Amino acid sequence: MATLHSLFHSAREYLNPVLKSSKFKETGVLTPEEFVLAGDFLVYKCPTWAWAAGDPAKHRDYLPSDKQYLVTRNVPCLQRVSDYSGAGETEGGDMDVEGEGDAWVATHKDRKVKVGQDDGGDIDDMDDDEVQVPIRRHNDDDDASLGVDHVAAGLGGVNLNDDRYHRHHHHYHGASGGVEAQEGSDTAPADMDDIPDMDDIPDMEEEDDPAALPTAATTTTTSRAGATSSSSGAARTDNILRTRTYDVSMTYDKYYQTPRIWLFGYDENRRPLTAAQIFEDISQDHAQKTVTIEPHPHEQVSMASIHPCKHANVMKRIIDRMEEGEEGKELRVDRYLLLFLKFVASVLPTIEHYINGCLTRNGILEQPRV
Amino acid sequence: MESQDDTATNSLLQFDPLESAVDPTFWHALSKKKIEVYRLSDAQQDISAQYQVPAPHPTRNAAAATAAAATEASARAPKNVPAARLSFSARSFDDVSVAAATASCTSPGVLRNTNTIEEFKQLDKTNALKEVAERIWADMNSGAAISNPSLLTRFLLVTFADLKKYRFYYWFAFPALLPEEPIRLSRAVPMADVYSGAQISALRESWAAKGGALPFFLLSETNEALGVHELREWHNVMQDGKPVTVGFVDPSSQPANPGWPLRNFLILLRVRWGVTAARVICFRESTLPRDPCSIICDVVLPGAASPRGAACPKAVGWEKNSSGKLGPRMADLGPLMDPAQLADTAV
Repeated sequence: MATLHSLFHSAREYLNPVLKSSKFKETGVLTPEEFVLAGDFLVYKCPTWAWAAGDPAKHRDYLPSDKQYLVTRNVPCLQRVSDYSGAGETEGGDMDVEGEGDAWVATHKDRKVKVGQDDGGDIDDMDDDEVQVPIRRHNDDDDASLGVDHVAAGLGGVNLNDDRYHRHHHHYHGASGGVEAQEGSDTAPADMDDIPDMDDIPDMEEEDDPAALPTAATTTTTSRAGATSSSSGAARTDNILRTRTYDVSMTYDKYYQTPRIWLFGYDENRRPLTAAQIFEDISQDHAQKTVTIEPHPHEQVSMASIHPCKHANVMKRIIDRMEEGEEGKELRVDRYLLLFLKFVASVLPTIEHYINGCLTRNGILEQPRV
Repeated sequence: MESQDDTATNSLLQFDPLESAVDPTFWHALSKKKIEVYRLSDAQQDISAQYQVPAPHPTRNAAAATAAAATEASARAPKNVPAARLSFSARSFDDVSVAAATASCTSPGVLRNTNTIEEFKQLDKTNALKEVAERIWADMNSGAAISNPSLLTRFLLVTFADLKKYRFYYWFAFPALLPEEPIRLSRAVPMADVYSGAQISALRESWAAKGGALPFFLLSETNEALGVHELREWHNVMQDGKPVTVGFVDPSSQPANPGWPLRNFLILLRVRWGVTAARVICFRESTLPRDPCSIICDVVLPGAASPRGAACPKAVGWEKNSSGKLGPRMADLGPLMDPAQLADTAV
């Protein structure tokens, strides 16, 4: 369910003229040309990032057709924020923004939202699978009237996916006693590989291939009933690290004139993450304020996005501090996205290392004293 | 799959399988193709996918350490490294694959989209895999795979798109031709144990200078440098009596195992040039200078070389599902693709 907010945002973005002259030092914003410049530099310095053309139907004229947005795929995310024992959420190292409380207006409300709302009548028994997801939404002046419901609906839609499947799963396999044990436990996605009626695929004897390194769960097909997977993953004996991964993309937001981050996550078995699961990987500081599920501006899917309304402010602070720290040195605009990613790292602390690993190790930020 | 106990001298060379990484844009593009182009046709369609050197990962730092243990050829303790992935996106349907990340290789593939779940189930998978394997074999024999080595990585993707429910059933195979006798590994070590920093930097530069996308290549060696050459230069590069050194872009992060794409390359070496032993550089470097993370596998290719033009060897390569069984997967993308949820697709 698209939020009214994102509709509104689209309209505003459409109406807002393209930024022409460079203002990144004064206000922290970028022109599209600067976005491309900084993107080229990012791709050069950090080859796991690549330019993407996106869906031609969503092409933006003010960006080159083959450089519509930036993307890096399969970024591992080893642990949840709640398990993260790193430097602490707001202590993201040298790029930490002073007085972050100022940068992020504290007009947000705590809400408990029931995930899993109506999405068709065939799932009335949903209630025992409800999850309480703390959601606070950004309360920008122009969306104050929009209720938490929109976000909730969006999340419900996403989350329902798995639960609905879960239900079907019960439906198909219930009689065999396969999955009963799972009842009411949590919202762990059902094992999608237990596709209903897929058992009778002919002609596939197990391949005898000793030269294949054993990778997938060679152990417990027995626990199939438990539909274990997503959270535990403990029983695995393979040598592949089963971890969540993210496809992270960066678009240019014409209205806010800043980059904007989009996340699409997969669980340990490469199934799309629910919104609730994605929230587990976002710093509570930020998840509660600024992350929503919206249509990706260049692809035909919805993704979690960090709302960009404060990005310019934050970037302005970071730039100021960098230049203060290194007198006489100027920050080049093509470094903008590297700095931006450092900031993003404070929002996504558990995938920070991978986004930035290739940056810091090469000393690209040659003015580290901030 | 547990059997590899002949630790005597050479162990069985085991390859790290590829895992399909299908992003949601791929499914959207497939739906569109199905509606606008394929319609009811279940003809084979050409698509592409990408793989690349592994991204930076903490376990890579540990790779050097664990590789020490791995030199005991049988070391098989869990290494906890990321899966090697073959990525599919909306761009997989583009005629010309757009430049993806550097250090990224494009694999050609065959899509067989069925019209019903029944057809999906009933499709003769064994034969479908065999057909792709035969194309790979033909490309080896004709020499097409020498001028365009990405043909060695041809894959197969069988799908059924349930457009009413936005559910996508799929099964991916990366066919690997089997050798007459199993390939042996005499040792696997980090590249830095064998080559100097200067040689490794030269290798990176030379590979980047070739366009940064050469999936398989030959190597020449001097005391100062390693040089990358295309396969078609075989007779200029390889000298009689000198060991054969080759390389490939390796998506695997395993400290003592090469990635899956090497399999068909070794078959090509055996069949085309009669190679019986080779040093393989499993190239995992980005174009950036950083800690070297490539490994070297010294391999032995026993058995009689099957004559060129012989019948296509048996092939394997179906992807296992998340329960470790040979079986299809399913992606349910209703919430992400339902038009009602995407009403405001910006401007």
